[in-house]
Amino acid sequence: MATVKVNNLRKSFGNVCAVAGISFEVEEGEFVTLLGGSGCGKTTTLRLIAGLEENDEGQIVLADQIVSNPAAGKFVPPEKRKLGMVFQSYAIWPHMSVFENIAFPLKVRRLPSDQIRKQVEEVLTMVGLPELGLRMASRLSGGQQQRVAIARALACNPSILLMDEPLSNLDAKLRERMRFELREMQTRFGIATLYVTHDQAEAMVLSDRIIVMNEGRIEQVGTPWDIYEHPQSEFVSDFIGVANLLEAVVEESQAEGCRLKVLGNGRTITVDRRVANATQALLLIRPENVQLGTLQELPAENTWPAKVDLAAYFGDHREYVLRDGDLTIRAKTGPKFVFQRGDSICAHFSPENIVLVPKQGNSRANAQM
Amino acid sequence: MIRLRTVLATGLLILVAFLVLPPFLMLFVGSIWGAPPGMPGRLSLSAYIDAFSSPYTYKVIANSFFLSFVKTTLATIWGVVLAWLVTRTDVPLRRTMEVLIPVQFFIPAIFNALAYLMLLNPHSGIVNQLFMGAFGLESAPFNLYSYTGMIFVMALGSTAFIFLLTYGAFRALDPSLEESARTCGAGTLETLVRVTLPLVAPAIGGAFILSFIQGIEAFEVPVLIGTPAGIYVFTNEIYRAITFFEPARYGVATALGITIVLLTFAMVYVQWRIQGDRQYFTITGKGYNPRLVRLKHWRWPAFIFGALYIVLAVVLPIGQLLLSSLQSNVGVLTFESFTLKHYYQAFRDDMVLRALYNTLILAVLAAVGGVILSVLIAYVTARLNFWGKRWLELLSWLPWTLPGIVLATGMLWAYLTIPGLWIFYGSLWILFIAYIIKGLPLGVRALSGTMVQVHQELEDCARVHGASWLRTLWSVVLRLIRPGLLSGAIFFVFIAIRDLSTPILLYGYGTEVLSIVLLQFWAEKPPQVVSVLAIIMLAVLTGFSAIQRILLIEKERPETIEGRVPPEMGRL
Repeated sequence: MATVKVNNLRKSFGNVCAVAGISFEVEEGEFVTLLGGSGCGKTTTLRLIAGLEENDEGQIVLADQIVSNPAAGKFVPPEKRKLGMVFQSYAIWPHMSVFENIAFPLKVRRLPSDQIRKQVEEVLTMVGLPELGLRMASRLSGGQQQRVAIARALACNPSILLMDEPLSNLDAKLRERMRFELREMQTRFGIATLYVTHDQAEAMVLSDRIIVMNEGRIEQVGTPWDIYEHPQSEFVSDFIGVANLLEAVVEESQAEGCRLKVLGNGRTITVDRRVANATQALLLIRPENVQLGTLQELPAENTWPAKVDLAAYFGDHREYVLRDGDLTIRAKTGPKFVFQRGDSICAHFSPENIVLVPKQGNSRANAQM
Repeated sequence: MIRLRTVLATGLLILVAFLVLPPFLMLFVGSIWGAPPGMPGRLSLSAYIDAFSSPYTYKVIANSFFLSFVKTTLATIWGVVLAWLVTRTDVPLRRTMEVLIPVQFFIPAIFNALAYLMLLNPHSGIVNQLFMGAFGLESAPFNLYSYTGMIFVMALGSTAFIFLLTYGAFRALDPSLEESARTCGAGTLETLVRVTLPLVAPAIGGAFILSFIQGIEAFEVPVLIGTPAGIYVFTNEIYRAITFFEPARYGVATALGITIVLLTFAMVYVQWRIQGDRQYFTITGKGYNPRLVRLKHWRWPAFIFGALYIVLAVVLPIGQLLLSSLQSNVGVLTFESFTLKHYYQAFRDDMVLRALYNTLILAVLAAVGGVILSVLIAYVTARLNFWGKRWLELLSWLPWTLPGIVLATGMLWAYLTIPGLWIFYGSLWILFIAYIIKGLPLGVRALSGTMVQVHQELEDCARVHGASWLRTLWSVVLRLIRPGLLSGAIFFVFIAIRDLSTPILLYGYGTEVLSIVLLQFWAEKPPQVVSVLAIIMLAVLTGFSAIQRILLIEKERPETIEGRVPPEMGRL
């Protein structure tokens, strides 16, 4: 049974279309992330589900109850949707103590005070902040505010937890640690979570499924592995991770593989799959799948000479920008591969690591396959 | 789907329209009615023809503009220099000056005018006596009943106003902007002229226009100093037209009133064009530690410049009125001659007690009513998606163009002629309504300024977690803007206590307020009694400010009780 069911959701602000008819579901206990750049409609989608904005078209179902359907004149205000939500700024009320902040959702529901006390203490312990209840909320560190916001969102046992970029205000170190903690908490509580972020690493670590959004539409839905390994559009392959995208013309296509000519440097490349009824193809090669070395060290097939344009050392790895004709290729190697700027070397792409990306235009047809 | 909040907002719009529009409409109707309010009249432009065919009217207009322009120019120079000195230089005692200069802002204009009338009295005024004694003069060297005298007293008040408005801009200025000019090779003076001043120029320009409008609208100094000197400007001329002649010349008064409204409208428009959205300075909480300009041998002259203002604007007025309230005989300054008998007398005077009671009641009512109305308007315009939001904004801003005396003229017409509004005439309610109208423009602006600082997510969060729209307004928004509510309240309190021009046409027997009695006593009673009343007014003001401070502190108590958190607990 799906906890959230969104069907053909649409929302415009004036002439700007923020959400252009999207549909998706969040299953019970599932962690789903809406991922996309700024202005892609991810936050609007979340606010529509929360009821903080009203959708123009489409239907939202939360826990089997229709909460919004403009066609039927149905709109349940946010306070009646029984949600938990964590905001980007945490929205911790500075005029209340930690206890009062967390008790607020329970108080407005007129629960008896001893039960409120019990529930707040419970949830504070769950997020790892027992004995902090009396502290004024304005005197918390970023990480503590984060936990209080989560505790407040969970306080009245909502059927779904909404999170709007909750980690973006933390410093880099803490953010990285909170990713794991969030995931761990969510698994422990087993609550369906819809999470919004622009940070793809965050989405990869946290999610059961990722919904990649672009210009108000869904580009692709899938597990982090799917999204990274089998992007269904040029946008997704470029947005998730670093991508070398090569445009190529099919020269010969057979069942066990095909040969293509890459535009930009005119070299041939072979792939171990067939390109379905097309003369052009988009090839995705991740930088970590580019092998570097001398001509002798590398297999003969799919090996090109290239010049090192830029070399950077990251401690745990090195990155290079290579040039061959008009083509630039990014490569990522272990720290032991040392090349200098200006070196002439060779790059190899093994056929099984080359991904065929559906060209823009037929990408949506492919996404629904 | 019609929502409760749309219904409420529409109700609010109608209420504000009922408050604000009648004085405007009736001012206009009055100017073409051709008869006093309540009398049968017929359409005629005779009031305008009378007013604008007489060269005297142009003299009045010229006087208004001349006086206001000169006093504003003086005050701007004075105020900006003071603001720069205390924020950006190493002038001695700058922290003390920073506290003392704004005290003048707190002193009512009527208080200033009366104090200087006593200080520069040709016979008993201390200043004149000192100069006459010191230089062996035959007659008093200073005469306050002149253009110069009016300009001086008005400029005193405006200087503190300009100081407060530009002070924020000097503080908020990022010091690195000045420092980078220094590193590029500009000297102290060049940095000041080419970087600092241009950066604060919009603030200075805005403050200038606001102060200029205030100068046109000023009533206390024109009526107390101008009228006896035979110098008439818009405001004391309107007052004269209504109270001096029999029958009252309502036509001329309303025609002049309409003129002033239109001129103010034009000036406010200019101000908007100059300032755009920069009407408010967000003073960031960052602990900027700007490099102070070293004045070197100018330090002490600069100090004297600042101290002189404090003496003229704060020490002398308060000192004079305090002293004379305690004197048994005017001009006698011996220790034995001090007495509290004028205070005893004042507190046994029925009219004083009644005025004090009325003023206190009105101050509290205006504060409560004004803040509730302002906060609702601010909330609707800043936060709700309401069809009439622009109208509400416009209506709440409109009274900004109404000087107190013109507002009073319009109210007089409206509440004498519109059936149903009669019942308010002659009661405290008409004063209450007038104060609310007068305070609305700034009250709404101040509160919407605070409101926009409340992050939208703080509200959204309450909604999502089960609070209705009203509950959110009550438990989150209002609690968070509490300091703003308190300063809004004190603002309405100040209007109710200090203003003379609004009640002067609207009070009746039994509804006198302090400022009215002060004016009457000035005409009838010895200066000691007047001083007592002025001191009472100042004490009431101080009392309300103290209450505001205490309420502000109360708010912070939970945190102080909780004590300091060890720094390591602040981290995860």
